[in-house]
Amino acid sequence: MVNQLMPENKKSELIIQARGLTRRFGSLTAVDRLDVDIYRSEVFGFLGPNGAGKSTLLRMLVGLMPPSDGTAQVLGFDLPKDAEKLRSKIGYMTQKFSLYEDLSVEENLEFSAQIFGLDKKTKKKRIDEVLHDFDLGELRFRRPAILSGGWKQRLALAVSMIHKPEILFLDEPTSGVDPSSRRLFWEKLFELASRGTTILVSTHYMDEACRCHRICMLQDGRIKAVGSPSDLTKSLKGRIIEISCEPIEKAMHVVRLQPYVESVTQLGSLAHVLLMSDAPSDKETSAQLYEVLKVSGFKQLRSEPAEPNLEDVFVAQTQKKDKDQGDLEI
Amino acid sequence: MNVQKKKAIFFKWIKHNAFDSLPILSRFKLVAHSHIIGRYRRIIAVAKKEFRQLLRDQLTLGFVVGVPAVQLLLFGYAINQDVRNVNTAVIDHSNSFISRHLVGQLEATQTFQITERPASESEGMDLLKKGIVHALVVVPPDYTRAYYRGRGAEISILVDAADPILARAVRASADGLMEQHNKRLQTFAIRPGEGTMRAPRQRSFFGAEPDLIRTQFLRFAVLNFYNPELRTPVFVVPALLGVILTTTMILMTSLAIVRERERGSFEFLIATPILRMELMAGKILPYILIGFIQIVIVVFTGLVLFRVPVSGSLIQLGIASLIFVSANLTLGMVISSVCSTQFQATEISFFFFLPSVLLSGFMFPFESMPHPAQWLGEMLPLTHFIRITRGILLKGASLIDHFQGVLAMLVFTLIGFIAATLLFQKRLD
Repeated sequence: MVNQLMPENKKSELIIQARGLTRRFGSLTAVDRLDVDIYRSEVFGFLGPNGAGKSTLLRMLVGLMPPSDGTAQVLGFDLPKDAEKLRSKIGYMTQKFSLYEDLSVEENLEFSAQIFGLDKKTKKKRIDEVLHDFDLGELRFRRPAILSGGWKQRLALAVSMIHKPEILFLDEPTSGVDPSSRRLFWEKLFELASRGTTILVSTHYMDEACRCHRICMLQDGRIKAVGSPSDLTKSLKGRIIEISCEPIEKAMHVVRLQPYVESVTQLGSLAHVLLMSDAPSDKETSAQLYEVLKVSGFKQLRSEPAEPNLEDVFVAQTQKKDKDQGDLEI
Repeated sequence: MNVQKKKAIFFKWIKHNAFDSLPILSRFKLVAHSHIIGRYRRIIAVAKKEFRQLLRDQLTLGFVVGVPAVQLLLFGYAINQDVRNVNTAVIDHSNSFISRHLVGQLEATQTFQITERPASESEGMDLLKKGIVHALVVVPPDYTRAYYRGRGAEISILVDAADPILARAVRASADGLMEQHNKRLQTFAIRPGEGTMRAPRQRSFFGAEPDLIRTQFLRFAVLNFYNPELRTPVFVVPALLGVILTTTMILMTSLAIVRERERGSFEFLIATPILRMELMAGKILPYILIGFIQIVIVVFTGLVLFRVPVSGSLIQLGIASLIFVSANLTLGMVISSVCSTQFQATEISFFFFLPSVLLSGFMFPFESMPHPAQWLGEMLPLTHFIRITRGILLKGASLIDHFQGVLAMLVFTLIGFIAATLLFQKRLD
């Protein structure tokens, strides 16, 4: 798929290539025959509910977990054979906070810098740079144990950037972080991306996925869709109708029974109706739905075609199984 | 002159160009150099980090410093094989000046402490059974008469032999007293046929026992070397050094990697370019220092409080201790590499402690153990270390005398380090 949002000045060089990547835990297949291509300097998102296989996939691409089957090449290194050579070129931020709570911010940075083999002068320079870049200067003597979730994540990001990695792997970096901290965090990510770092991020937040250059939707270890958010939403053009009325929950039951309706998703006081691909035009169908709901006696009724969003794409792609999508948040 | 000049030019050329003219060599040189620097840097980084964490963990730090001191005091005083003050019940049927004198002599050995005077044998047996006394002395009614007639009399001592050490001590003490007593009786009566040889009457010069006539065939002169007063602490404290180091060192390192696993930093750590060997080395380094502090505490306390003699070189003791500490640390790392929780690691550490204490010669004389147990014992670093500490402190031996023990500990360390490195996987599974 052609990537519209990728920076034009950067050459799209393939730096991660996975073919038939599979990981089984006993009888459970966490990642099932995935093919992934990722280009330099893109912000690539893996979107999916808990248990979709996002963490397992990232761990395999970082070289921490040998795949049961398939091959993966990252920066030209074959995994898991050349995992050690890859380490100094990538940064990895784990889902759970994995720095030392009993070392100060600066000591954590220092440890990481030394482990990545920076010499004394470079180390000092990088620590100062990173402290400045991530606004951690004032906290340098504090211990992470007393920092809030948002600051902890920022520190983890700073630590994983200390050796200027070419690729940054972030495993659900903002879970449990408040919205404003999340926004700041993503600003930092774009800053890094604009300087040429390739970023792979897994998330279950739709709004974060929207920010990525390209996303890959995962469910049950399988890829459901890959592409830029705009491409993905474009594919559903003309199949989404937004309705609102009182009470919305009851209206949804009625709408589900109507012809051409594939599924209904509640978004607060609104509901998005996904139409089947062979449905007549969205205008026509929305008018029909309006009539049906009006006859049924719903108040403050509104029904009109709407712009599809990523959640609609996700719902459409995972429709066949109709799993619980409670993990997806807007 | 000319040749020399040529030579100088040649060497200068070698010096400046050899590495550059051979690209492979020059690359090797540079890579090797940066490789070593990087390795050194990472080991130091891990060691520094580990040390910082250790200093901030007050409880562990207290454990490291407090445990050796407390254990040494506790065990040094408590582990005492000199049996004293055994609670004793006495039934004196004779009840004369002579019999009371005998009981007094029993008490004077300090082995017995007379706490009960039951009226009858059955009452005395009851006390023995309940564990109120551990020895019951019965003086027969005809004791006084027998004494004056120079005849033998039987005094029964019933001992609670559930504890063999106590039973043996009581027997030894009673035997000693009996021998003393018999000397006096023998003054009056030499039974015929008991002896044809007279012992030299050397003590008569001092006028102590001029009328002593010895009648044994043979007499063993047992001389107590190295610990003439037979004080248990002198024997126990040097070995305690090894036991204390084993406990703390294995336990601390067995938690070293597992802790990272439990706290979540493991995943961060294995995603860095650190090599397994570097991680192991870096983790062990600070604990060698801790071990050294413990050695100083234990040795100093042992010398001051328990008056353990220092016959050999303290520096050699220090060297042996450091090798021993390293052996235990690598064993701890092996445990840490295979365990996934701190609980498991602690369990396995304790699984190792008991055989260490029991089979190393700390509790029982090594030579008296059955052979399979001795083979097991030989595999434990503690066995060798105890021999070395006792050798150096009590006998003035040197490391060269204990060359085999030192070698055994070094081999153990090496195998442990390799095993720990191989067992540790930079992977999540």
